[in-house]
Amino acid sequence: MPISSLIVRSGEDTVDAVVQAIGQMPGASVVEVQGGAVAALTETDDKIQDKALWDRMEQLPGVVKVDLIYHNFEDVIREPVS
Amino acid sequence: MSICTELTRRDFIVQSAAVAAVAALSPSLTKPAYAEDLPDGLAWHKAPCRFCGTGCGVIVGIKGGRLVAVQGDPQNEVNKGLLCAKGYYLGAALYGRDRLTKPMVRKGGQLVPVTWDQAIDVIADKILEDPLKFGIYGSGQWTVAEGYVAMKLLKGGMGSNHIDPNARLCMASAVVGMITTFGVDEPSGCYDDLDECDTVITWGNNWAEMHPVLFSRFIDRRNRGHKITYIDLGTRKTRSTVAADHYMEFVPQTDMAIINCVCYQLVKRGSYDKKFVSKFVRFKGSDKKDMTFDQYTKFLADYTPEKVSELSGISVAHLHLLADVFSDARRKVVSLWCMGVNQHTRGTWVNNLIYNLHLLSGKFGKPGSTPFSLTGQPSACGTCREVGTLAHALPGGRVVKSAEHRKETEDFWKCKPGAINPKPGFHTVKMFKEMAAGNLNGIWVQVTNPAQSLPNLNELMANASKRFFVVSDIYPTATTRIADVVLPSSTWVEKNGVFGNSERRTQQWFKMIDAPGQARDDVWQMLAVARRLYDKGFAGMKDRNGEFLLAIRDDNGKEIEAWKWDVFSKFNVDKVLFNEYRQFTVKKHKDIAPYDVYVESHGMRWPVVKDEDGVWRETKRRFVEGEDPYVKPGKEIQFYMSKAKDDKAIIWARPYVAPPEVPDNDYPFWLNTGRVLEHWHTGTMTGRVRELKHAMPSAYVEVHPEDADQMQLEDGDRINIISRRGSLILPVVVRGRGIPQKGMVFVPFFDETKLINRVTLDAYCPMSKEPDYKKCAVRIEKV
Repeated sequence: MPISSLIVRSGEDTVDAVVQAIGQMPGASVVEVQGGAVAALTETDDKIQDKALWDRMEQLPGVVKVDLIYHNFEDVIREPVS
Repeated sequence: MSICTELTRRDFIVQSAAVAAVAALSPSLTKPAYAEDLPDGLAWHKAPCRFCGTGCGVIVGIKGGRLVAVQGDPQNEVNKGLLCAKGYYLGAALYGRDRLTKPMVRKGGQLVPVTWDQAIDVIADKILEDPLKFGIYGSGQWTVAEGYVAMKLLKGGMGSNHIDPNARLCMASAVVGMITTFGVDEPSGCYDDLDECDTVITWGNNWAEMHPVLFSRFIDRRNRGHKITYIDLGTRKTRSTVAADHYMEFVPQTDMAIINCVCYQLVKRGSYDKKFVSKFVRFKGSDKKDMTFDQYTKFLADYTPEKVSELSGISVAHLHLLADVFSDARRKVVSLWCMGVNQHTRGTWVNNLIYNLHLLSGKFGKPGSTPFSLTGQPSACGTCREVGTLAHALPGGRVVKSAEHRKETEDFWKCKPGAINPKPGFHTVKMFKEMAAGNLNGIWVQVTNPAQSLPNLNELMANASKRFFVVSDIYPTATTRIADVVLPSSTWVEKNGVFGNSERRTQQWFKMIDAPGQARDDVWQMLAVARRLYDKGFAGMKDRNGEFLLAIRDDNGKEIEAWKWDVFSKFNVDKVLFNEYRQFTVKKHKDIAPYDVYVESHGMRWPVVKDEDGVWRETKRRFVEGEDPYVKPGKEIQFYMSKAKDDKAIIWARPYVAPPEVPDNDYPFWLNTGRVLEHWHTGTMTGRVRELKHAMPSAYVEVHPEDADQMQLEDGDRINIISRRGSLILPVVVRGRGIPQKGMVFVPFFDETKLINRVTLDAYCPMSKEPDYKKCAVRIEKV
């Protein structure tokens, strides 16, 4: 079960909407907000869901950038494409 | 009582993730201690990221011999705890099902497994047929030790200079640009300047997707309320453009005229930095003759805003705006560039021109003001540029043409006098043309994929199946498919290594996990072949004392049998090679510290010099008094490696030159090629990551909406892209993440099933020999 933390960067004028949207995503939660930057946490069943959350956050209106901080995938280590 | 008895393991991981995110969000907080202290059952170790040239620090979590977690290194000043999407997949990229695990030799047209001993014998015998007709094609992904041992084997032992890296294809123009302007290679500024500037200009650079963590540093400052103007000059709108205050789209190649136009305006307005120019700069024409300032002014007379606007397509108002930025003495300006400038038939000159602008305006050597050339691979600087794995070079900024440099190198290596060939070898494009023509018999490719990444593949890889290719890699690639010998390699944290990033930062890591199957380090592969040549009596592998040229000795000076895997794998050969290489670095003031200093650090920028207190100190900004230990007191700025020994940099009069191939009636479109966010270069690693493969499974062609309307093209339609050299059918994307200018199409090169480099041309900068992947003429036909 991958666990990741991310920083989602948007403008200060859109950050409230971004926080609300992340809060409504199953598997995602907001840890802290500073200015236009949101520290978010994801807990999902597999890496595809994890990456899908990342992508959804990146596509939120006003979001400029998503950075990875921490990513633990010890339970789902082998998901290669042959 | 340990924390883990109170929390479940999962709770603890969640807490760790949250704490790391909050720390990264709050630069004022004391950074958390090194992750290895955390009681989460993982062993945490530092390493630089495996991918681009930014050089982010990664803390790698190991459990049960497997890589199971990564986090941005909060103690690394490059990324301050951040990672981009590529960092997210660092682990998965190692665990593809089709990792190469056995050496293979082609027999009867098929690659069949053999022992390492057999494979090494095949390679050694082929080299012995004619050592002077055997080459090595390496990589900006080579570690320092890998590049160094390849150089010693080929240039010190085989009397050949036919070694070149894939970095020739991405940053050779930056190298020659710096050497011609400053007398020595590599940037003077550093990433810290991004934290101090108030203006960023990107010259044909999509840093949001190609150097995302640096882009985040900029976005982070903006989010904190810093007012930073961002000007994006390009030929194609990208995700970087979204953040720009001004986007200035220019006709391909006219960047040369645009920069001269800004210089013209600075001189005409009298707003250039007169003190800086008089103290630290002199002028030269492209005929290499000195120029007066008046002569330089006359040269610029052709570049009025009106004329350049007509040529470039940039408005006069925008050209004025650029001049306003560089005229304002209070402004702190960082220029960034990468492939758009370097992959250019006048790449060296465009590099010179950007330096001209910063030198003329005095926006140099001050916190927040610097011209900064980015690199695309993790050790293009550390290995290719510093170790010098280029056809003309020797380690530490030396060149084979210099008798003095050859002698110094022969003395360091204890080669027989005259062992090093004074004639430069074949640069990349020439190397593969000579292979096609039969003037090279064999080549050893490590950590790169030329059968996909070279330009004009139909010509450069012609007859490849008739030539002898050795390929060391971790996955099957377009190049392993034509190879005669395939060697399975260790990668990244499966071996010890050192990388050098874009800002002169040297970073070390230790092996953390075993490579799969029989995969072995590239350093070992080279040592084993060298020893086999020695054992077969090849004189070049003996030093001037008759001993093995590539001998590895322990701390007591006793030679170890490093060519035996069981010996090599228990000994840190990297440390020996790094400390041996270190002696080369002093000559051009690129001093690096002993290996053990890097073990304790999270990267240090050279020159690294021991101060009076015995502490090794890095250098943020070169040539700047108070920062660079080689600048003499009172000098302020000292370009101490200037060729004329006058401590001055050169402003070159570089005229606009049209590209060798431009759209015409038969081929009316520009073709531009490049990378995508999801895939690293030719996709050999990222293509093994399920999520990335699903997100970006195959190549496409971006078409401008107006061109699409005119040709009645919609998303998903297939078009044939045809140049004078080849053709390729691809699906159309009209409004994708990038929008090329009208009259241009853009194709990424990651897809090995759709090789756009069959279409590109191999024309290159005459000074750097770097080819132009960004512009050639094509026609497109709906199929």
